[in-house]
Amino acid sequence: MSKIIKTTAAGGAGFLAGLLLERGLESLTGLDFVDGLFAVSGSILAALSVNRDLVQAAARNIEQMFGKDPLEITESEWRQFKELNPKTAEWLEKALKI
Amino acid sequence: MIPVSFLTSMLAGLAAKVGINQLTKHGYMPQSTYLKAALKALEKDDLDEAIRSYHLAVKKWPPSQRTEIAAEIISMAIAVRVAKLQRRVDELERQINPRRFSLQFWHNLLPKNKQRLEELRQEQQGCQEAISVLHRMKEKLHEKD
Repeated sequence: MSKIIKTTAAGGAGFLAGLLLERGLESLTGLDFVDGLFAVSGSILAALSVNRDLVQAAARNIEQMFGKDPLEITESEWRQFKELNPKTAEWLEKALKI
Repeated sequence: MIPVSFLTSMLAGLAAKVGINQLTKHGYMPQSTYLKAALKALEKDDLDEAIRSYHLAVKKWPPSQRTEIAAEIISMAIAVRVAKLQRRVDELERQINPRRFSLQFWHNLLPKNKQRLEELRQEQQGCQEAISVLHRMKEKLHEKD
């Protein structure tokens, strides 16, 4: 039990020290340097999730355009959307296998 | 005393951050980075940032299917806002300039409604200005650098 407490305390102290060091360096240099290390992996993650973001953004547009959930739009509303956004509609049809 | 290895790794982190910042600023990062930023900005209703990120996405990279879709999505988001504002302008127009001899027409003639009418006119003007700003944004979106 005491071992767990000791490990948790040491881990917490280390985390706090790291956090303070990061904040200190950020305020001194004005740079979020830790973020820099993750920027490359961030861009890889961005590439993976951009398709999902495109679908979500298109869904939001449909929702705002017709005032209802994209799943509830009628055939004619979909055609209207398709007319205004041919590329997005075509891509959505492929992505969602409509 | 701070160990040298710690300082080296810290400097590497700083150099990476500065380098990536510069690459990002000039459009050298992968296209999806900018598209994601554009869509994120759109979600936050920040059209300026969305357009700026979209332009960065096609600055150094050739347009792709995804950039075309993103442009269409941004354009659509602008059109939705314009349509909403236009509906409000029309609604205000009916209140400010109602049909002759309608109930609203007589209502507007009452002195107590003068202040309210003035407020409605100002709101209508604000909406019209917002519409023209949105139209300019749409033009900017399709502009090529």
